[in-house]
Amino acid sequence: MVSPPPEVLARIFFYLEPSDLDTVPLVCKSWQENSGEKLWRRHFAARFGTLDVTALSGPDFSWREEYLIREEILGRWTRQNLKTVSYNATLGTITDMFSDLSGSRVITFNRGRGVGNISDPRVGKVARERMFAADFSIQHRIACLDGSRFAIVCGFHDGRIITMVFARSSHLILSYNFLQYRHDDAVTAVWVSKTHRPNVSSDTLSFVTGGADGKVFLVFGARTDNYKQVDLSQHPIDFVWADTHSGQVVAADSSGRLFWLNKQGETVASSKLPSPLSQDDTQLFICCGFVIAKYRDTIYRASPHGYESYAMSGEQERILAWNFDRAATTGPKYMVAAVSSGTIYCWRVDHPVLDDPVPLFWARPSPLTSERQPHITQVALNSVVLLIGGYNGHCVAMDLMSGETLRQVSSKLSRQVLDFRRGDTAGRESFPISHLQVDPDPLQPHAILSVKEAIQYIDSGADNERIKPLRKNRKPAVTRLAAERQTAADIHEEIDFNMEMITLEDEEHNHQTHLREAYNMTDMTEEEQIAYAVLLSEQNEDAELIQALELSLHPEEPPQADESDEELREILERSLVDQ
Amino acid sequence: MSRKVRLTSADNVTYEVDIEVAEKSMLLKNMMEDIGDDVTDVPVPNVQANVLKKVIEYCEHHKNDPAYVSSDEGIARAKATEISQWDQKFLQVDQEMLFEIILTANYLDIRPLLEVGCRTVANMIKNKSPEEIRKTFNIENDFTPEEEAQIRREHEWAQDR
Repeated sequence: MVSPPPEVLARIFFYLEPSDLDTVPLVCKSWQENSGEKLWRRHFAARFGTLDVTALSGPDFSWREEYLIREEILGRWTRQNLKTVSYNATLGTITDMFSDLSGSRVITFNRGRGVGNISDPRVGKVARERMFAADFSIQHRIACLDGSRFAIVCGFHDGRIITMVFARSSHLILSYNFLQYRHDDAVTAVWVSKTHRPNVSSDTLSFVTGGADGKVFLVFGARTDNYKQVDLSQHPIDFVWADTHSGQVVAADSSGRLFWLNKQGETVASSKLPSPLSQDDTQLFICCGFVIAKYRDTIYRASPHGYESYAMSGEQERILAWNFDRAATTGPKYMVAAVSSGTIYCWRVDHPVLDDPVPLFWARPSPLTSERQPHITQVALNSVVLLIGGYNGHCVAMDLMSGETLRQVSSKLSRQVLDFRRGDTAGRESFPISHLQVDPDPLQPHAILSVKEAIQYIDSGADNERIKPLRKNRKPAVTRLAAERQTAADIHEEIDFNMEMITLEDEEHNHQTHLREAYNMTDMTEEEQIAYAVLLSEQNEDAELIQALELSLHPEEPPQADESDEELREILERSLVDQ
Repeated sequence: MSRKVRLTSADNVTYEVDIEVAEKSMLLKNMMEDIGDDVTDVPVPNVQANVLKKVIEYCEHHKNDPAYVSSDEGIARAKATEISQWDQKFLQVDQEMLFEIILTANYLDIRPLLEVGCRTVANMIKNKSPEEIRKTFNIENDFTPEEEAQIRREHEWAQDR
């Protein structure tokens, strides 16, 4: 054979499909020299349009692995047999949703009614309705709340704060407590750790609250007595956010001043945004050490040294939705904003310099834009995919690297699932997606969205795995649906019930500890523990015990067959006068 | 009537072609621009007459194609499209000639021909084992058995995926 020069050889190999690239180095030395990582790197750049990516292949980084892993994940998102599970949260409109998709737990909440539930999105089951003591919400009004898979913290207009802590592996609430301290004025900001369960260790920050009195409380653990109070500002504190990895806490007051606090509650730095903030128009988070704040239609990236703003092409762009990569890993972090002209912008948050023009990763017309208006209500992303959700209940997946549209992952939920009964929605064909979340771990192609009171879980990783049948013996108690009807006696009963559950939980915990020790798995990470606990809870034989307990507490409730139970629930729902 | 230029091969065979045809080669185009308008004779050393004839045939056929823009992204796009029938037939030549055409396209900087040639070779590599590839292209295995085992090990892990 005529031996072609290296550039020609490389060009020939470049036309090979990835499946053939592994054969090339085995042929001869000159072929080996012109293939391998160099070639994979080039393939990667051509396929994804960039080399500036979050590494997915672990400690032994290789472009080959990066290419194949990314292709596989995208392939999962694009394939036909996407598994979706749709169900109704039976809460009325979902105002807040907190999900841990890897741990298969979704917590939904309706602020107006003070009702929430915990469900397993894989089976779509409404695990248990919970009346979070109706008088809290009606008399005091929830001013703000935040949550995680472990807990929800509500701040009230009278300055009180309530915490609800969930059981580790079951779908139960362990406790709800008013904290010992309160703000002098309304609670205006709450942040809850997404990675730490309250109670785990006393020096771990579990939540932060800010009030109209200008005070900030840093709470460690959940025993309510381990907290630090900081008198921070003359102005109401409108936002608090903490980064559990760096231990950084940031608070913003309504004048636009930002405060960086350490764990001791000392102000280590401060900075000022150009505009005063307001709770209605502002959102704020910490990413890559920067504070990212959206005020009306401008996104600022602030540090103790000042701020910069992200430029967008249009003069009068409204930001319809924005979000960022919430993965706990280091590496490039991306932020996405969808604007009213129908363009979606993607930025690298940790890009070293914000030049003019802003170093845009990409900007693309939205696939959900109609001739009349852009349709986006929500965006969610991890380091591989971007999901955008629209006014009509549609959700589209895009390749975050190239901005190419992969597929529509969700269409309108069925009317049966949505189950609108109140007539105000008659004649409307579509409903906006109000929450959209994607698993921050890109290797787990899961997402969840909510439309009014319906939830849809999307699992594009499931092969031909069958959807688990509902467990009939754990139907939620129907009587608990009527929040308004709950009396003090009911609440006490519920507390007693919870105490029982704590005992059960402890027993289960001991059981798990024994198992872990038996299998020498004491050094598992938090994530592994969660996964392990979920696994255990599935095999948990305690379900019957729980049901027996539940029946003993509600002897008036006869066991119901599936259909009649649904009917009864519907009748009850219809009879409810919504707030 | 368009301008003509005369291309002379390494073994002194001369072909008269339209200037548009010659300008398919970026090398010749730049050379002719550097020399000036009145150039009529262009030597093409390093290229034998039989190969030059084939390359001219290609350029004649493609003289009205739009200007070619090359990039990695363009290559990725090209992968998805079929090689045209005319090109396929044009490249149905013995292997030695195929590589001569590719090398000439590379030397004369005729991008579309280089790409289509490389794609044809890539298609010959597809779905073959290393041994089959060596046989196809008559390549000598210049690895020592130890080296070969080593590379195999590195890729065995990969092929297990």
